[in-house]
Amino acid sequence: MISPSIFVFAPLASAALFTALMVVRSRNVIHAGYWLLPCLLAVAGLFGSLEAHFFVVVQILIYAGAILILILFALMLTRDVMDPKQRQTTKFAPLAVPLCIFVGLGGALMMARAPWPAIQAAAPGPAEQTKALGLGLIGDYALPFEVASLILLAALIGAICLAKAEKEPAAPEPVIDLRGEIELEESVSAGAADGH
Amino acid sequence: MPDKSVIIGDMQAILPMIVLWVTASVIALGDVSLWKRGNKAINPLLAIVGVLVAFKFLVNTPRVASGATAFAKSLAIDPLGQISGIALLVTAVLSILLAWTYLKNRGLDHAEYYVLLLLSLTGAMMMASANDLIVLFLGLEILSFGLYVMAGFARTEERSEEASVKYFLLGAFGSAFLLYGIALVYGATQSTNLEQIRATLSSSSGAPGPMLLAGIGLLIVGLGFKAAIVPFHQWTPDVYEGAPTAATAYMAGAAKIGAFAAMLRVFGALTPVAASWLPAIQILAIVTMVFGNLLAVTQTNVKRLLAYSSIAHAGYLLVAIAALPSETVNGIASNAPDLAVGGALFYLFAYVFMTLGAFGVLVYLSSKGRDVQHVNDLRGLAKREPAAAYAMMFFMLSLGGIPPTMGFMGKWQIFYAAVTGQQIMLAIVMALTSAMAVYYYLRVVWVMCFEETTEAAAPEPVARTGAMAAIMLAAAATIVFGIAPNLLNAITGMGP
Repeated sequence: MISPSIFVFAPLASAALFTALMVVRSRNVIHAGYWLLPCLLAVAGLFGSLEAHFFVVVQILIYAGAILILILFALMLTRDVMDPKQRQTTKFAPLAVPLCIFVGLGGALMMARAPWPAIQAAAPGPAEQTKALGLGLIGDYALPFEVASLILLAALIGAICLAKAEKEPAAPEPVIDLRGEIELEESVSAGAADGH
Repeated sequence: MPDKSVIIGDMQAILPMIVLWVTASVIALGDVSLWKRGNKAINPLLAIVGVLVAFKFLVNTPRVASGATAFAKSLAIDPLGQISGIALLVTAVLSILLAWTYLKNRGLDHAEYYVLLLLSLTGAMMMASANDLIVLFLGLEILSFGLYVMAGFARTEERSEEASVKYFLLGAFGSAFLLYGIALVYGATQSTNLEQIRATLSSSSGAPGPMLLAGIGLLIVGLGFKAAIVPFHQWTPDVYEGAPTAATAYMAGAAKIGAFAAMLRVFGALTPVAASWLPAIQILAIVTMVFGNLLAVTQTNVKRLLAYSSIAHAGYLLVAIAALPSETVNGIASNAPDLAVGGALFYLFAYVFMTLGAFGVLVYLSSKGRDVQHVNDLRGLAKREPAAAYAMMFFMLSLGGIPPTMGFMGKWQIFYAAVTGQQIMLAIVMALTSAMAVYYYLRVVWVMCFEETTEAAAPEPVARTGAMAAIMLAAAATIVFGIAPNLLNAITGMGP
């Protein structure tokens, strides 16, 4: 039996898949960034079809809004991130396509047949959902919620560490430069003196 | 509002991790403000003090024996978490000592290294105590993020950069597998809590569904990536070779302990459906032991050799995992699971001491502009640097599993657990491949003792107190705990 929700799910899911594929296929990295927008919106639509209202809003505001802008800004400020002429596939690419289709179809078949004990009959309303989420974040899932900030801290420090300019050897250089210039001046003046 | 005693209990459970995280923050902030131009030695010293304080809190954690949990059951307070935590802290002390020497000699002496090391250590400890798959995943990510950057810490070197990028891409790939596996296991059991998963699985009758099987398979792949199990091991030699030697040493120890502590927990919880995953683990164990050792034979770079050796050791540790489900043998209750957990933990300690010791010798011999990693660099070492050469000899003998070293005792314990758990086939493969491994470990010893050095002048003297201290600590532990293994059990409260 096919439930009517498939008519909502199928277009959204195929849109998400197609745009995600375009993100990785685009040779111009700015284009890849733009393709991310419909992809994130399609995922927001999927959340909506699951009646996860809070996540729809978060997905649009945070991901499609804030994070995407941040990514585009970061790309704008970086030069030569990607060469549009460079090949992006390896010699294994033709192998990957059938493999992906096989794994994807196999996974879909498996999911369709398996019992889903975690499914609930009806999703709670928006107000209850958000309340349950908030309570979960400071209750049962307090530790994972707080620990996630450590990941951000580690990523932040790591990124600074990799991106900061290497210090040049400080003191001796200007002295040498100065001497060189003095010597040059002397030789020039000496040469000039010889010429006269 | 939860009870006050619950909050205190929760805090006590994560106190060692809080100490590590606070120390990391103090070093990060202090280095940019307080001791900006001062002595750089304060960073490793502070890091070591932080680790020792964390150690103090970890061994004094209350309620360890009672099987308590913290934070709504997402963190387990048990001997497995405590002992693997101790192993992680030991790894940290040794690698901080090594980094102190190595970074200074290579001109990479930045505080961020110690900050990242302590943060990733926090993640590894979280992973080792995780009682919930989400906490396990987050711990793994914190551990990995630190390691990715540490692998690329020598940014001016192409090899180091390559190691970092390779590790990051494949690590992210592995994490995706793990996350997908967690999602499928949740779909099948309605929980991410390991206790809850075990309860659900043991109460349900009949064969496990395809979703659970796929989930378990993806968990094996994801954790296998981190633990460097064949066929998910390809990144290991390149990353071990390219990363700065001090970072390789830490990576070898911390990632292995974190991954195997997590595996012991996850597969312990999956024991009720052992029939579905045991064959896979058995095959992976055999393949890992055989290929790890075979590929190590031809290596001429000591760091690559140790990388393949670490793959082989992951295979031995998988034998312990395979003995986990043998709760009854021929209908009689068996203590094989306890032996397997105890053996794996002892082996992890042994692995840490001998592997970090061996990397320590490479660090000790490296100086500015000269990164010792080829076997030929060790030629005639017994004459040039007798102390380092004899320590290296002990580490190689121990890695090869020759008595009376710690490596032998560790292998013996896992072997015994495997035989008790009726995993005879695995025990035999383990013994044969260990014998094969002796060849390439002894070749290093041969080169050090019996081949003439090609180097004309003695290397310039460099600051290497830290590395020497680490080598001596590791060598002493390898021998003392090899002769008296019960001493380690007494110190850590491990074993029956």
